[in-house]
Amino acid sequence: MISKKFDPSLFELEPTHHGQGDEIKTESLTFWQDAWRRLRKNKAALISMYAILLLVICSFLAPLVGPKHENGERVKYNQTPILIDTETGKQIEKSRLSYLPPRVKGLEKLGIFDGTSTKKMTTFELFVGSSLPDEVSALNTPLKKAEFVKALGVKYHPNDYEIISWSGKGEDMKITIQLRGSSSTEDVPASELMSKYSDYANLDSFELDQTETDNQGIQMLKVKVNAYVQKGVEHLYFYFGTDELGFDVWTRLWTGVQVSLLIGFLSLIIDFTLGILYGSIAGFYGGTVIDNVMMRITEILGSIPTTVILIIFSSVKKPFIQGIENLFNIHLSNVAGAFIILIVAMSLTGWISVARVVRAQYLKLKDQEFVMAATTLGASSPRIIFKHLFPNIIGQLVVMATFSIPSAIATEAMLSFIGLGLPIPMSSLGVLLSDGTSKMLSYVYLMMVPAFFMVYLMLAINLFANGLRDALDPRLRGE
Amino acid sequence: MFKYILKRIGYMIITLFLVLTVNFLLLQLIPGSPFDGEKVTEAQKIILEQKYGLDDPIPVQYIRYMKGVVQGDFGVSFKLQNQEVSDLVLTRIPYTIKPGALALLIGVVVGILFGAIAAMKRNSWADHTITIISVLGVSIPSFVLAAFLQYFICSKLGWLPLLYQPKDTVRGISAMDEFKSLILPSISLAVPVIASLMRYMRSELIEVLNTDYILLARAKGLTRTQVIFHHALRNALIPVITVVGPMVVSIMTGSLVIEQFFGVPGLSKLMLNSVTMNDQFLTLGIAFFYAVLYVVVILVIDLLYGVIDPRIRLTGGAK
Repeated sequence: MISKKFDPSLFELEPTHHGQGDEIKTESLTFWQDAWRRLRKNKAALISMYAILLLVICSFLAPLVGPKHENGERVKYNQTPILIDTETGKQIEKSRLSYLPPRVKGLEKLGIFDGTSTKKMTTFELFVGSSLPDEVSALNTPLKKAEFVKALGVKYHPNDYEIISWSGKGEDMKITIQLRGSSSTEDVPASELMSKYSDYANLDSFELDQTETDNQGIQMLKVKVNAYVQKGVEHLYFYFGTDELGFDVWTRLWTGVQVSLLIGFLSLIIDFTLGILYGSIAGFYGGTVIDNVMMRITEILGSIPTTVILIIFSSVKKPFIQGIENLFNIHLSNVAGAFIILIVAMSLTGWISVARVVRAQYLKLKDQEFVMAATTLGASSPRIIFKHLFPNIIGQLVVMATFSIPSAIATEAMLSFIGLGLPIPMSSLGVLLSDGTSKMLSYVYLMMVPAFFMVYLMLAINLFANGLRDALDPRLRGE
Repeated sequence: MFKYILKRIGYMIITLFLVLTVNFLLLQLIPGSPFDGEKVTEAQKIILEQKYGLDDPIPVQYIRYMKGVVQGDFGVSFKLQNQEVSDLVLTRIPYTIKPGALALLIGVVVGILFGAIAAMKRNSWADHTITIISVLGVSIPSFVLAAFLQYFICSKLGWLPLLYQPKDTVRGISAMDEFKSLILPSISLAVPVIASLMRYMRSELIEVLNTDYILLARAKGLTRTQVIFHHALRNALIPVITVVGPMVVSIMTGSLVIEQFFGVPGLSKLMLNSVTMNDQFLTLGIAFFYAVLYVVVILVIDLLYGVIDPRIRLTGGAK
């Protein structure tokens, strides 16, 4: 056997620590500290948390950089900007401020958010338009074609030629056309084809993009229109555009985010107050007749199709608002009334699941050893409830609460969507979305902007709630 | 078992009675008469209200309506040429069922398939993609998805029709065209189903694949494919099937908006119209129909639990 001699001086005796063998070296963590430690490890949840915070902060700060009235005041979510046209000295009409696409300083040079939108139209729509004075549009018949063309002040009737190609921009734009029935082409300055009545009479306001012939043989033009130039409001910037009434979507969006979150929180508070109360009572009387009756009630209420009741309830607004007004002797505005009804309607059945969970947890925990131990050691009932039982339920409740916010926001959006939500000058993500989707084919930004923020918010809250569930209740961690 | 079913049916009847009563009373609260604002004189209004019995006191109306319901008479619509409510509902049902059934089919097949793939190729790129899709699918409300689909697929790409087109040989719309126009509503309805089924399927299959009998089967020399198809999938499917019930309910609720969106002339469209027109009996009838569908689906699912998984005892009590 080969043995090796070690020099004893290489070794040092470790001093013994008697009685400290099972000492816990790490700092002891409270429940929440431990949960926070676990949450921090979850990248997606952490990013989501910051994303939610960012959105909330933005919803308060972002409107500060929104458009202003001529007198310097900020434009509110339900106001059309009051601005003076420097050329005429008059107020800019609402029609000139409506349906302006998104436009942001700086970004517009990159070709995005530059206030342009691509529209598909016929040659007639581009060069003549639909807003002809009566005496001119009366001439729009095949027999009076020559007079019509003269009244419009154009060289050819738009239906008489096809556009082959084009060059130049603005006043220098030249269009190569081919007259119907002729094989030769002709270069005509765009200004000679444009009637003064057209919406696009300002040649700087559009660029031709493409032509195509549809299945009925009519030439369709794809035109890139800059609505700001077209309406003579080039000095303005609306970051997310404006809607039909000239409201600024940027301002409305941030108000809408606040309102949607408020709806989520209020319905959460009502649901959880009711649910915890009801569940605690049922749990406290667990197993008795009272508990049985209370649970049968939730069972029956839970099997009512919520959405159907919600729709009927929301359609019967007036008497409820009047009832609330009489009860508290106050006067509610239209919006406040609708808001209250919405919250109440959503809370009609929302508390049931909370009550069930609270009761079940209560029953499960009541008989466990640690409660018995606490009782034996002489802890009072309130101490057991708040120090021993509640911390065990709170994690699950927080998770449920977090998950309930996106579903409340979605319910509100759905109700707005079918016309039973908040009235229109009010703003919420649902109101904006339902307005946007109805105009989506012509003005897609009206749909895209609220849809983006809706998805952003729902995704962030859901991911955060997932992380929270894993952090607060590691037993539930999904694979 | 029989006693349990009887008890459940008892609760069902109480629920339906409650729904009808609450809805009836709620609708009575709407101020004015259904005939306000139309071009009718005061005298005509009184005659109309007499005709439909709206001038009686509310308890009398309520008892008369309930009696009718028990005998299967749901009254007539005020606004739609006195048509029977039951006829109106019956003609609309197919339009609600078609996209709903298609959505369920797509949802179940795609959800289970992708969930299984994610479980089998755990921690691969496919798994991560599927997880991301399922989070997205749960987060995005179905009508936002419908808006996106409608904009990109119909308007930009022009692949599918924008609105629902019922089969109509006179106007030259074939069954194929109808099917095409049903694809987008069905997908919009199916995505939440796909998303949650994928999640369920994935976690169930992972659990099953970690059990001893799978290990035994592999140890005895069966191939991975054989084990997955013969042993794992079947057992993983049991709990997954039980969540299909809530999915049916979510599709029903989802259809309220989706039908509006794609112009499907189904039940929910009829219902929303009747609510806005204050057409009481019609609203009540449709709400009742939804309630029946809802409680029956819930009952069937609860009973199926016991059939699919004998370990679940239905005789109740123990929870």
